[in-house]
Amino acid sequence: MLTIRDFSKSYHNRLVLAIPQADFPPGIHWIKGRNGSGKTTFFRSVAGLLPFEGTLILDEKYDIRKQPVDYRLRVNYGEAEPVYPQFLTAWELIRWVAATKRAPDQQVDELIELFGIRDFMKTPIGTYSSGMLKKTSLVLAFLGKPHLILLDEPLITLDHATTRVVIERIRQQRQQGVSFLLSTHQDVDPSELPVDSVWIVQQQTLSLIAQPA
Amino acid sequence: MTALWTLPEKLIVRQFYLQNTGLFIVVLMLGFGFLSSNEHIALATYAVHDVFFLTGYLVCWLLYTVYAIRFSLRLFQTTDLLQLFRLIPPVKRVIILYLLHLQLLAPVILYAGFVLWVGSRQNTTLANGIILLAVGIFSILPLPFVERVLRNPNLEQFTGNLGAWLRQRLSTPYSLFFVRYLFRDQPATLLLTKTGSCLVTIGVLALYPTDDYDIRLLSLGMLLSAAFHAGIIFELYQFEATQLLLLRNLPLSITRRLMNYVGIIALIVSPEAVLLIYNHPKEVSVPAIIGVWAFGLGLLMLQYVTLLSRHHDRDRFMGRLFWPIIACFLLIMYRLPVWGLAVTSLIAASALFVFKYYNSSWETGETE
Repeated sequence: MLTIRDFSKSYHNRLVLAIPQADFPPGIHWIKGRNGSGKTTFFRSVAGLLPFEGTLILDEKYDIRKQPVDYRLRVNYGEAEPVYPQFLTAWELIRWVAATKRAPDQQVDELIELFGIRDFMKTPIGTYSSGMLKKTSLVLAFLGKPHLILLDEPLITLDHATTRVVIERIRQQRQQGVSFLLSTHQDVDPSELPVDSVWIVQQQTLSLIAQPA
Repeated sequence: MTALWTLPEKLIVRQFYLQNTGLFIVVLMLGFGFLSSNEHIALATYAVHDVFFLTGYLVCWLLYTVYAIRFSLRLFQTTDLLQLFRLIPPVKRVIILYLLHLQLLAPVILYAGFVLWVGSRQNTTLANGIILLAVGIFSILPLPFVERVLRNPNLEQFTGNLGAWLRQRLSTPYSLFFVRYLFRDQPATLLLTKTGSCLVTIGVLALYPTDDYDIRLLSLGMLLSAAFHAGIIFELYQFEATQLLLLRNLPLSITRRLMNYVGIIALIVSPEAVLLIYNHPKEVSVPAIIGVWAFGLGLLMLQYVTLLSRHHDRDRFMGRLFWPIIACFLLIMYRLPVWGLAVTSLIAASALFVFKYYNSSWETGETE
């Protein structure tokens, strides 16, 4: 599903992450790592937000450099701590992202209902709590017809009911063929969310640590 | 006392000057680029002898004070840590708040000190008294407002019925995100930049018929206008990199992205286009005057792609504009056709954008 070759990312000539080779098959993959290990840098690079050296190919077809539009159409990203312009409303962001990600109208409505943001989505983002902001970012992350969704700490700041909604949505999407790269410091019950492999970011690289049979 | 001072000083004073660097650069360009020290002394001398003229100074200082208070109040309302000020004994709290806001008002106090110095040399007792009284009032003006915010934390913000009504019915297109940001978060920078740039445009249009000038005068005016916009171009770069990072994840072609930026920047310099087209000299054709404006647009696009080519902080970015401006000045003076300059700058900016956009990033050196 996602092929990584000769990946490296540096800040000011200081190497942060080097991944000579990694192959993520379709499924749900859990990326672990301590704070500051480079998980968010990895997610942002895969999402096309940050420049890097190396190759990223989705579904053996879409190279992030050669097919930047096709690649981005199929890779969505939910930030750990989303930052959006405070004067915009969630509705304005959703409309904009939905249009570019070619999301069907009914999907927009469905996600708004699912995450329960209808009541506040037309008020400025500057008035949102961290949980409301996180719900908005999750709606944005599920818009369109992605093949891969990157969710960086998707469960933080969410109440118990919404946490259940997120886990259930990931399960549903997985059954429909969508793959996930997740990072979370919270323990996830394997019976609720079957994880296909566990990876760890440490010592400036990404390694596979567990792959259930 | 040091412990009570350090954190608010970093949160309020440093943030104020950091976030308003663009504003101060425009003020310095306007106030000290056009006017020499002798002219400042002449204006101050006139002000201390004329109460109405002095009132103009006081109004400017009051506007700055209101701007600084507004910034401070917004920080106190949104930074929970600053609510800890309520735990400080009242007298000590008032002293700290007074000294903090005195630092925000430093530009006004310094310039008022200069006018006072001129007044003392002129022995204008009344004007000197008015200046001292006004600055004294301005310096204590923030205190009651900050105290009110501290005593009433997390006030529900009234954003207006019209705003709420519009938000329910309208949606901002992406091309207007940055313009809304400017109006909401950088109004002073926007106002001063556009005032300075439009004054330059009006100035060269008024100067043109007075002598045997040619289109180079208008091109030089546009070059100066483009230099005035450097702060706004940096704001665009910063806004998209820090608040709209998700833009880079959206499936937009590089051509569409380029056209988006051309559109946003064209919108920002549209007042200059209106001024040029409606007031152009008879000897200069409409296509030529549009060429002058397109040259300005190309210069602004070049400024933007400079930031994409290599991340700079605001100061370094401003500093790096000096030699390109000198180069453009020479190209204009060597009578290169304005449309040639416009097309070349737009093509160069487009090519750099295509090659650099996906390799660019706002580098803070952070690792998460």
